[in-house]
Amino acid sequence: LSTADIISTVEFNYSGDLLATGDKGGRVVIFQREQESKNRPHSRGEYNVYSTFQSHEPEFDYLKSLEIEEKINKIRWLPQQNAAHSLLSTNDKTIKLWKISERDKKAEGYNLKEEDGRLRDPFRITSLRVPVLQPMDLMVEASPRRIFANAHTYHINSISVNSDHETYLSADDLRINLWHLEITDRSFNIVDIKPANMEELTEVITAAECHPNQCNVFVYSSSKGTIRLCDMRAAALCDRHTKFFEEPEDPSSRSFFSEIISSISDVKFSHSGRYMMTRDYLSVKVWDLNMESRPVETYQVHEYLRSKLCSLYENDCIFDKFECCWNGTDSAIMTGSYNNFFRMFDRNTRRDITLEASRESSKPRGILKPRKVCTGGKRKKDEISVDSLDFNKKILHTAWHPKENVIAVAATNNLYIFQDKMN
Amino acid sequence: MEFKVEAHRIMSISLGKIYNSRVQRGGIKLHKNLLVSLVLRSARQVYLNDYYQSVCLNAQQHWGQHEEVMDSNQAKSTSERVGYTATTPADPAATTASEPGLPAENTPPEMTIDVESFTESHAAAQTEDVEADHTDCKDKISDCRRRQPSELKGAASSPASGPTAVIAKHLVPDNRIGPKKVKEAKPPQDEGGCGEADADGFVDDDSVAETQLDNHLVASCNRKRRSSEKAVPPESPVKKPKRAPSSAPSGEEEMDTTNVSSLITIFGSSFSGLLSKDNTQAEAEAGDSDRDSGAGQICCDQVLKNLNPWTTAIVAF
Repeated sequence: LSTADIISTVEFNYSGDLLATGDKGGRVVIFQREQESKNRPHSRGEYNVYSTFQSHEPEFDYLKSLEIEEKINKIRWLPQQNAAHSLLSTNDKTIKLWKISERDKKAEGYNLKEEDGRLRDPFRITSLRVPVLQPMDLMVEASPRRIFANAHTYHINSISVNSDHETYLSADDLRINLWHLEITDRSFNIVDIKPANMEELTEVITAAECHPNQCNVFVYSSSKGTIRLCDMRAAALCDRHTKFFEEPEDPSSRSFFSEIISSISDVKFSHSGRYMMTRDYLSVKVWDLNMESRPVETYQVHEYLRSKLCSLYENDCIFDKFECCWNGTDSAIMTGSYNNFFRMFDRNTRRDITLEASRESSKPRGILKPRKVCTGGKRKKDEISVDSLDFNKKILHTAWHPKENVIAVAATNNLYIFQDKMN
Repeated sequence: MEFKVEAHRIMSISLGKIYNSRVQRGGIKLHKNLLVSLVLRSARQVYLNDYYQSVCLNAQQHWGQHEEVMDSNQAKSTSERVGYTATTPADPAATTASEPGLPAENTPPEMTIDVESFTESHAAAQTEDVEADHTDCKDKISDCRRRQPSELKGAASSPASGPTAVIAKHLVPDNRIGPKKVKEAKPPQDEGGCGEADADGFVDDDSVAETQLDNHLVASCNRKRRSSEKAVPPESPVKKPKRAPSSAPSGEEEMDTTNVSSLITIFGSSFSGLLSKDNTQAEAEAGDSDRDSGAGQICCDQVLKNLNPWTTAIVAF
């Protein structure tokens, strides 16, 4: 297993036709959904590789003697404005805007050069002709259009495109910056939680997102399990939040690791913009933006790990940052777990399901079988005991198609795409 | 008692993680190190709470045997110290704090080894980073030391914070104010890495105390001042990372807890030490020098400051 192939982010574009993945080696691979063919109208489109390019390279900061990892932390698509597609991809320090365009025609019949590019001998040119566009094999090209660099001292953990389609924010451990997509040489710092004395540091920013339809609103989550909602109209520097979301801690469950497991690893607004979802180590919480005191829904992802926190601390698994996502209608949410398991929760029926993304359990056109973890007592057939879970097989990144029931699940270096069963 | 073992183990693991983070690709991850330092402090708190509870118990039960134990472990006569204790103004915390060795003997030796090897390896790595402005540090240290008695007395006298005061007093690096028990003095001294102090024995409690305090605080100072002044110190007692291997006639167990606590004190501020390296290089802010000034005092104050949020926090696990 080459660590460079480990997938580090997964994201559908606005239409769901394109699916982008980033990996630890700094590469971006884009999959495109095949159009449903007329021959087999009931066959859903499959996702095939559309484009592959190297987005980020490892860099060395000589001033600080630091190596900057090329791992892609996040990819966010921009709304499509013309035939080309655009996305933002970021590593720890630099954000890049990539334009992915297709070329399926080429000009032939130049006067001054041959088809292979060699220059023609001018004395041999006896006539003029107009070059003609001829069809060619589809070529997909990715080119970096903007490079947004040198704005973050700490490691970038989030980027989010604003609903105005002109600006976007980028967040590191202590600061959030606002950029204009066209301007690369400056950004506005809108949140700064760096204390004057670093010894007083008690929390860091873990994720940030723009509101899906209010372009002045964004949220950011912290390592203390709190979420702050900010309004950019209130002040230039949004250090004072408009809303503060925190659930009171349950004192009976305190342990050495209470603080770690309350750290929020991901925050996502619902498509409607009315709710937001946060993921901490053991649970997913849905918050109503109108109620700051506690979440409206809490879903346990793998509560059976609570008694194993010490071991998970030793092997560093407790620091794993799981993401979460909504389905297109906000009726269901999904997040990953260990042993290549991922979980889906239906908010209306309150049913949940555990599925596995692995070669053995996913045959093409096969149906995924629900899995169950045995938490104690007699282990039933087909159940897996907590101690046999493979903690190296973690599903940190999942994505849900914006309109259909198609999901993408990244299991280490493999990408699984599952679709709803057709009738 | 198992809490103490578990807490100690978690502390060792946490220290290892912080140490390893310095060599990880991509630079120091602020978020992870912050979380690890929180766990470290929680574990330290539990460890010391548990430890001092047992100290109090032992003190009540075995006060008569105390002198005997001291004699058997030290080369010095204890009568002197007992006398000294009697004449010291009442400082109840100090009395109980004077017996770190007793319960420490109960700690299994393997825990000691973890901390010791870690101390050595880390301190060795730390040495190359040290750029000391020794003079400044010494000034701050003397300020710090002068301030200690009143602070601690204040803390000790308030009845509500009995255990806190005990911990605070003990945690203040190698502070020998109050009863200068050899028992108390000895273990941190090794941690502070003054081999020479070991060799000298305890001829003069005051000078020993000073040296130890200097060493410890200068070590902490130096971590903070790593990227600022480069003045070569006129003397560098701090550059003694290796503890004298078997300088202590007493068993290694009794140094264990105080070593850990002193080590943790360094790491309590070492998180920011990690960061100050990160930050001063990253931002080249003028404000950094402000932060570094009074570093010696910050070491002590910070420990006391940070104890408060956790005094009520950790219940049984």
